[in-house]
Amino acid sequence: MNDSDHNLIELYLEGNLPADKWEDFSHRLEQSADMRREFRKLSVLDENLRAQSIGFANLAEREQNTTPPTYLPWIVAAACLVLTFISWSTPPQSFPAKKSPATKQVHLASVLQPAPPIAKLIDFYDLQFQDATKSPEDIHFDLGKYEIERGQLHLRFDDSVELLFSGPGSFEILNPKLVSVTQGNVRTIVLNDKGKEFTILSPTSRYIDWGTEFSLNISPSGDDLVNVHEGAIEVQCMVTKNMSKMLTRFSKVNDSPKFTPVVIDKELENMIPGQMGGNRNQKLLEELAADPDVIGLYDFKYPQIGKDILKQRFPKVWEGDIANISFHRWIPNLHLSNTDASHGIFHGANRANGRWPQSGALNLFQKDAHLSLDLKGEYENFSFACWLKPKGKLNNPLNSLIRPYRWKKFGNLSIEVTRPGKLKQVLWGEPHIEEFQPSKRKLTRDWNHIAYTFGKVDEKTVSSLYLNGKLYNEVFPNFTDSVDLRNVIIGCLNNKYGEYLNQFNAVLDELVLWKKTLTKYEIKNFYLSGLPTYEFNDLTLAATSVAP
Amino acid sequence: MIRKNKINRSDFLRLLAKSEPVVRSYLRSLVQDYHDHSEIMQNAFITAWEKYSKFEGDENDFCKWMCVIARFQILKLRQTRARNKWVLSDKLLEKISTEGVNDIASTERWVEKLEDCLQELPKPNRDLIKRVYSPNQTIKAMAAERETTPDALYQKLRRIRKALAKCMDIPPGSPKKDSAPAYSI
Repeated sequence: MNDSDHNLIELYLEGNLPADKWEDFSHRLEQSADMRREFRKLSVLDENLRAQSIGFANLAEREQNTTPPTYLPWIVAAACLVLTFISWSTPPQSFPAKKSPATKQVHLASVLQPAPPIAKLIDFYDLQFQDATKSPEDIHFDLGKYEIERGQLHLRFDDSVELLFSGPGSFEILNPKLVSVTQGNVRTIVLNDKGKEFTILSPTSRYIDWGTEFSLNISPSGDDLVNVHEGAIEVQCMVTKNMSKMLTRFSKVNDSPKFTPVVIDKELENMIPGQMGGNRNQKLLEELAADPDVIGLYDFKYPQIGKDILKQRFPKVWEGDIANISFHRWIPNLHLSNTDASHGIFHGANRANGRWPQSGALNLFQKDAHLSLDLKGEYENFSFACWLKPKGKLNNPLNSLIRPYRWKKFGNLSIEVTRPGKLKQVLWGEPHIEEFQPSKRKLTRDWNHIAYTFGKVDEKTVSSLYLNGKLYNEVFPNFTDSVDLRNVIIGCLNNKYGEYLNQFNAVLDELVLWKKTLTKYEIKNFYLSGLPTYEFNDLTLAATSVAP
Repeated sequence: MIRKNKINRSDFLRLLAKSEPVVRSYLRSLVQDYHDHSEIMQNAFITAWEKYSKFEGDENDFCKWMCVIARFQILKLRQTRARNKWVLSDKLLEKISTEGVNDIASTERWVEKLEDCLQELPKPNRDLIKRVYSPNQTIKAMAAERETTPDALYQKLRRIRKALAKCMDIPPGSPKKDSAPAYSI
C-alpha cells in the first residue's frame, strides 16, 4: 500500500474526499487487501480518538468504576454552602426588606432560574411586530408594550386566560391580570376561577371579565365594539369609575352603556382558538392546489363549485346514478389545473368537524361508508397522505383504508389497519415480499397522519408507509413497477359480489395525492406543518365551568 | 463454552463491555456518518440482548458474534436509506465487513495498542489530536487560532495519524531504541 492510498483513506475518514476521487478510492479499496486492512486500522484509530474525546469511556472502565468517587464529600459540602447562602440571601416573609430605588434586590433563585414570562405564546399567524428583529417564538411576553403591524397572536396568562389579538394595533401588559389595548381586535376567554377579573383597558373603558368569553374591537377614532359570547363582563367608564354595567350574551344593542363610548355588536365574532392553525393549513392547501405534482386535493368542505362542473369528472362506479346523487355527496378535487383525479362521491358517510375550527372532514360511520375516486392511469411515482381519527373501536380484524374496487392486477395497492391499530400495506401479486418494519406504533385515538410513497430509490422500487411523519413499514416489490389505483374506494372494500366489507370506522381529513415519490423529509415536514399548536385539553375545556 | 441455563444479565454486560470498543471500531470502517453509527450500535446492542439466550460460544466468540449482528444492522439501515452515490458499494462493504469479522484479533490489538501509542506521542501533538476530536471544534477555527491554514493543519494531523497507525502495528513488547518512540513524525 502506498502513500496515496493512505491519503485517500484519510480524506474519506475526514469527510473531505472529493467527488472525482470517489471512484478511484472505491476501486483501489476493492482491489487491495492491504489497503482494506489499513482502512480498518485507521477507522479504529479515528473512532477511538473520537470516543475518547467526547468522554465516551470504554464500557469496561465504566463497569470498574462502581465505587463512589473520592470527590463526593466535596460536592456535598459545596451543596450545603450554596443552600446556606440561598437561605441567608433570601429574607424571611415576616420581615420584608425595605425597598430602595437605588438598590434593586435580586434573589439568588431568580438568577439561577429565569422567571417564566407573564404570558405564554400559544400560537401566531402572519405576525409582524413593529421594529422587532426577533421572531415571535423568541419574545418573552412580560410587562411592556407590544406594537403589531399585522397578523394574529394567541397568548395565555397564568394558565387561566386566553387572549387572542389581531393587528394592526398595540397592547401593553400592565400586570398578569391587566392588559391595556389602544387599537386592535381582541377575544378573551377565562378558563378557570383563577382568571376571573382579567381586565382589558381601552382608551375610554375598562372591561372586567367575570367569565368566560367576549370579543372586543378597539379603534382609537371610534366607539369600542363588544359582544359577550359566554358569561358576563363588567364595563366601567375610565373617567368616572363608579359608573359600571354588567353585560351578558343576552344583552341587546339597546343595552349599550351610555356613560362610555361602547356599542354592543351582536355580529361581532373575533378569532377563536385554533383558528390561526386553520389559517396556516388553509395557506398550505392553497399551495398544494397550485403544485404541479399534486393530482388530487380533498378538504371535505361543502362544494363551492357547481354540480355541472363536478359532473365532468366523476368516479365511474357511479355512472348509472350520477343524475340522482345529491350535491352534498360530492367531494371536489381542489387542484387548480391537474385533472388526473376525479372529484369524489361519498356513500353512507356524512360531513363532520375537521381538524380546524370551521373545517370539514368525512365521517365514515356506517358499515358501507366510503369515498369513491378515479385516477387517470398508472403511476411509477406516487404518494398519498391523509389525516385519520378512529371513531371508537375499529370494528373488523382488518379495516380497509384505501384499495381499488377490483383487486386483480399488479400495481393494485391496499392499505389496511388491524383491529389493534397497526398499519399494513399489501401489493397485488406480491405476497411474500421482504418487509422492513422499524416501528411498532399504533394508530392513536386522536388525529393520525398517514402517508404512503411508491417509487424507485437507487434503482430499487420501494413502497413505504408512514405514520405521524415517521417510517412505519417498507417493502421492496419484485414485480410491481407502478401503482394502479384507477377506481379507488376509501373507507372499506368492495368484494366481487358487490358487498361492502371491512369498514374503517374513522373520520378522514385532508386527503392529498401526488404523482411523485415524497421523500421522508417532505413527509415529516408535511406532518409537522399540519400539526395544530393550540390543542383542546382539560385546561381549555374547563372554560365553560366558570360561567356565572 | 458459556452455558446459560438462565440468562445472566451481568455476564452479558461483562462481555458487552469487553467487546464494545472493538465493535465500535469495526463499525466505523463500514459507516461514515456518526449518527448512523450510534444508531446501529444501539440497535446492535438491543438485538444482541434479545438473542443472547441463543448465543453459544466462548468469550472470544462473543465479539465476533456482536460484529455479525452489527453487520446485519448496517444492511438493514442501508435498505431504508435513499442511497447516494458516495457510499461504499454493497460488494465492497461485504468484503470489508467479512475481513473485519475474520480478523477481529487485529482490531482488538489495535484498540489495545492505541493508548500506548498516544502516550508515546510528543505532548503538543497528543494535545492537538485530542483537541481536534473534541466536540464543537472546527479545523478552521483551530487553524485561525494557531495562525496557520486549515490545509496545513490537516497535513499535520494526517502525519500524526499516520505515525499512530504505524505504531499500532508494532507488536507489543518490541524493543525500543534509546526509549525513543518506535515511529517518528
